[in-house]
Amino acid sequence: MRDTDLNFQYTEDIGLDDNEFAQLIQLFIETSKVDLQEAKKAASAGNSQKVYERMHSIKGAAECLGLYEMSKLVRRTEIMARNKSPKGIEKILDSISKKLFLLSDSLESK
Amino acid sequence: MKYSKKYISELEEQIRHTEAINRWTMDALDMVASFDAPQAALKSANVEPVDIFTAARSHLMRLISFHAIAFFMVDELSSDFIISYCEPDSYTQTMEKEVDHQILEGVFAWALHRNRAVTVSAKHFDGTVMFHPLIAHTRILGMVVAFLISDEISVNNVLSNLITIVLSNTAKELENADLFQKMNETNRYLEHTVRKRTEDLQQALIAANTLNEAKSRFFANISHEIKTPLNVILGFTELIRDTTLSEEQKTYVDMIAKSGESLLVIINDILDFSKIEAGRFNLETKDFDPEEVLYDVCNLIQMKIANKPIDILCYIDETLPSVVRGDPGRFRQVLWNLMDNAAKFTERGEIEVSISAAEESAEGEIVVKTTVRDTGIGIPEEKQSIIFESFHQVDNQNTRKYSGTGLGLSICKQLSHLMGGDVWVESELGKGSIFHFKAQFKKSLTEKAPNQDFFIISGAKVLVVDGNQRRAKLLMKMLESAGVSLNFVNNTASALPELIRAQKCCEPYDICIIDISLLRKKAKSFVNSVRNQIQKIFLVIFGAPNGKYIPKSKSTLFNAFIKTPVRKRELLQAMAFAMKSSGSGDKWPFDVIERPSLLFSPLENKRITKILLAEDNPVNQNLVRIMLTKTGHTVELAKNGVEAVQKFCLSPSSFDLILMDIQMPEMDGIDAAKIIRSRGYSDIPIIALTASSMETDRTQCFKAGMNDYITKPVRISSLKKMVERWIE
Repeated sequence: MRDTDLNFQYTEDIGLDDNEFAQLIQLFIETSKVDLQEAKKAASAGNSQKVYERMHSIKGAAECLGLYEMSKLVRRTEIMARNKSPKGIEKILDSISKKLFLLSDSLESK
Repeated sequence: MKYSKKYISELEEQIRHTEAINRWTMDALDMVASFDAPQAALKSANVEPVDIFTAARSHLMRLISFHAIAFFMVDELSSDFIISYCEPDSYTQTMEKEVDHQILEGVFAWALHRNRAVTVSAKHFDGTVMFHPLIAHTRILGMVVAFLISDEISVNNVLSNLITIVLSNTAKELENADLFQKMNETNRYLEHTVRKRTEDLQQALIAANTLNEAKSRFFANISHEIKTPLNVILGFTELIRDTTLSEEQKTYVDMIAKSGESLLVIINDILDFSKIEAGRFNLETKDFDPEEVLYDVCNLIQMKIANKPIDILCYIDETLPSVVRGDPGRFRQVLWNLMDNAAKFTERGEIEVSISAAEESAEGEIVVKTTVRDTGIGIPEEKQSIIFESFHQVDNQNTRKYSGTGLGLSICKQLSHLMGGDVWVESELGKGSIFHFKAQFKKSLTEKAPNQDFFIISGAKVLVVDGNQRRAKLLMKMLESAGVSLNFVNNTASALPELIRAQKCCEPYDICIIDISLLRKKAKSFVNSVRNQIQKIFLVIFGAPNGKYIPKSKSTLFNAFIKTPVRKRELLQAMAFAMKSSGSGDKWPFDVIERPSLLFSPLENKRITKILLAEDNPVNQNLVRIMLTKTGHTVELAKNGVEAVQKFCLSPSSFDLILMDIQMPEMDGIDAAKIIRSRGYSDIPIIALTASSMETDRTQCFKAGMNDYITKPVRISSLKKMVERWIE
């Protein structure tokens, strides 16, 4: 299941109701946007450590909300940042932004 | 008329003589009669030849008084006649000389040939000599030679015949004695050989056992040694997967991971197998719910066969207790193996598992019997026994097609024996197999509370719509026990008319349970027509989740979804839910009755506890906070380690527990825990929230003084359990 298809079934797994889950997703989108913004700045400044920290933060939350596609993508970026291999990192950061947008879009349509 | 004295005395003499002959005859007959008595043969059993010679002599002497009697016996080695007995002893030499002489005269050979008494004038004795051979069957044993003064024998046929009878009997006795002796010798030799062989075998057995044990120990150790690096390989393969890889590299990594996982399964099998062989296999004894174990296995198998058109049917018999005492892990292992086999060898149809209990003994032992029936390829009769032997599959070619070590069933068999039971199979080639599994468990002292749902749904009227007749029967059996009145149709087309008919007869159905595979794309139209024509009905669907869930859109159509294999508890729960809410309207919220453990009862009579949650990520903060609040706790938040230490130390008595994330900015969870402990707060439970399940991380947590850990992503059920454990 793609992240953009919000997996409300997951709420069952973690014991939340749909409303609570939607709130958390909203919170996730907002905080991740900030994290992503900072990561992009850090990436262009060549600060891999900072990118790593921001990605790590997004990843933890994504995992907890069952957003597996998202967390995989973030994890890739996290590993790249840790290995200080910035090649292509900005492209991936862009696709994370895109995913976040799709996520908020599908949340609104629910 | 007067008789002369002489005549009278002659007559008297004749009478005496006749009387004497008469006595002799009677005596001789007596003697002969005694020869064939059964004890005669027995007597010869442990008798030496000299005893037989003596007896024969005394018999002969009763017939006629020989001057001397000798027995010349054939020596087996030289084939010579050797004097073996002579009475009186002093005649030995005379006898030998006489025999030598008569051999030269040809009398000896003539006597042998005639097989009866032959008498001639003796050369070395003043009288006659008698020769009589000793012949048994066709073998010549020897020759009896006797001296006597007169030559009565040649003139008295009766006497001659009697001598032959006596000596034939003697020959028989001698042969018997000889055979007995030989038999005894053979017996003694045999006994010796057997004893020696048994000793040798015992030695060999001890050696083999020692070797086998050493081998099993070796396997157990080596398997463990192999497992450790293999786990590392698998772990790192998983990590490589998450890096940027080309399509080709991805394929390779997938292959490594897949092969590594199969290798791990094989090693685990070998490890179990060698542990059992080495006798180092200990079973646990604890309370568990066999039904729970069975459904757990069914759920996993259901996922495995998601792509095959197979229905999994589960039947739990009323006799099965809710709790038994035994080893749940091993019980599960056998069930898993049997179900996994069924899934492996079945392409379409059904896998039906039934479980029941019986034979509860006075000691509180319960025999739990499980059968797993499939509609797979089946097993030829001649192979049905060997599949339980180690390293066997039905067909060696199958190893390629259906992976496996061939140890699975052998392990099942041995585990079942350890559990005081057995595993066996009935099968028909091309039709399928039925595996039977029996295990003995102890009766548990605890018992689960009776299901309240029973009381709620009792009396309801239910229509079952199922295309699979067997499953429908199972469903109905489950419901019958709950006091529900039932009806069954096998397609949706007949469902609506039946619902309408019942409504018209003023006996409307309360609930309609429908097999989802019968609906497919007609779901909406079916539900609409039901809702339009039936005033009040609850629609429950069931089906395989196939890794996906029922689309949200369907949730508005139906009142509940139960996934297959249908569990009695879940079924009753879903229906009870319907009956409870029936007063308020004709719908209740769509609910996936999937994890009953997640349906919480309100925490009554429980003290409100306060938990300090240290977590930097706002999403996780809120997630965990919601979960804790839901389970009846109040939460105080801290954004990092520093804040956690400050908040706790300001008012330590107001907190019951600390949940501490490990990775936080400014101060991480490990340091925060160390500080709290170093300030003397040793009683407050600190639970780590870790992202990884790495052993090193856990060790670090414990070293820092934390009490336990919980891995992310956090599940409400595990969080609830963890908190309850430490607060209590």
